[in-house]
Amino acid sequence: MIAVLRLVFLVFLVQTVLFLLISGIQRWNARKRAWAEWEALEGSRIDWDTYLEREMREYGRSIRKKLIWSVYIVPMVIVILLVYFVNFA
Amino acid sequence: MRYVKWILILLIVAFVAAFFHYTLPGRDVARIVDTEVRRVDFGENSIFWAGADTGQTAGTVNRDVRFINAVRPNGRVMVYRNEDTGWGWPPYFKLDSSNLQTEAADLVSTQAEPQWVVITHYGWRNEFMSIFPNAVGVRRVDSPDVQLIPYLNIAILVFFFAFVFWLWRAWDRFKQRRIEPLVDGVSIAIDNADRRADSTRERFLAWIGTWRGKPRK
Repeated sequence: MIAVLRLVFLVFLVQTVLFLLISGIQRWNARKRAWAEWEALEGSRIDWDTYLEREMREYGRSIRKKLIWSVYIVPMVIVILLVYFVNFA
Repeated sequence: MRYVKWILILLIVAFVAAFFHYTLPGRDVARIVDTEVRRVDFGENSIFWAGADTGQTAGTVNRDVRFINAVRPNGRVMVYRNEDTGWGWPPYFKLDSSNLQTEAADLVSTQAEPQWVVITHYGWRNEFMSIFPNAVGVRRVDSPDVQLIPYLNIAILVFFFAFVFWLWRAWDRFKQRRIEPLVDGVSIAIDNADRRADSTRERFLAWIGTWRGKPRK
């Protein structure tokens, strides 16, 4: 039992570090994209802060952001599949 | 210095190759001749053994280990150990050693009436260190000439090399963007210092020249 808990804990730690790292990078990239788009807007530019806020709200709803959760989900699915195929199939 | 670099790279490549060769699953066609349990006292080869069965006391000095003895189609023998990897390394999550031992015992056959099987395993057999590959699964086949394509190994290695390539690309780009400008700056500074030193030397020599009546340019 201890061995499973140790594995779960270690994997969870690594996943959390990865999750935070990828989240940060993705957020930064979304910001950079928003800046490029805003700069390309000619004439009828709106205020940068308002534009950024709108774009980041859109990023918050995007599939790109939700996909970061696969950092937790994919390894879990792989482990469950491995346990099944190695021992019970 | 260049040799040191290449020797280091070669050592790393050899280590990675050995790691994968040991850890990735391999498959042998064989005929099981016996299954047995015997006590093993782990010594300097203990790193090549897995742990006790999942849920049992770990870290004992010795314990009983299940073995599967087999003969390959070419007549050479192979001995597999049959241990739980449990939740540890390598990540096979093998918990069913007892069941596998029963399956193997069920497939025991004689030379006269061979029942060929495919044994999935990882690890190495080495007589000098008394280490054995760990059997992970066993499956019966009709004939010893089956074609086995290691799709899983191919997929894992492709992912691994793609990851290494990506890391290398990222590092290369980081170097171009952050480190090379620094190095360029340093070499420009060195060039400037050099040029300044040159002109100082020229002026000094011209001054010496004036002693001998040479006019300054």
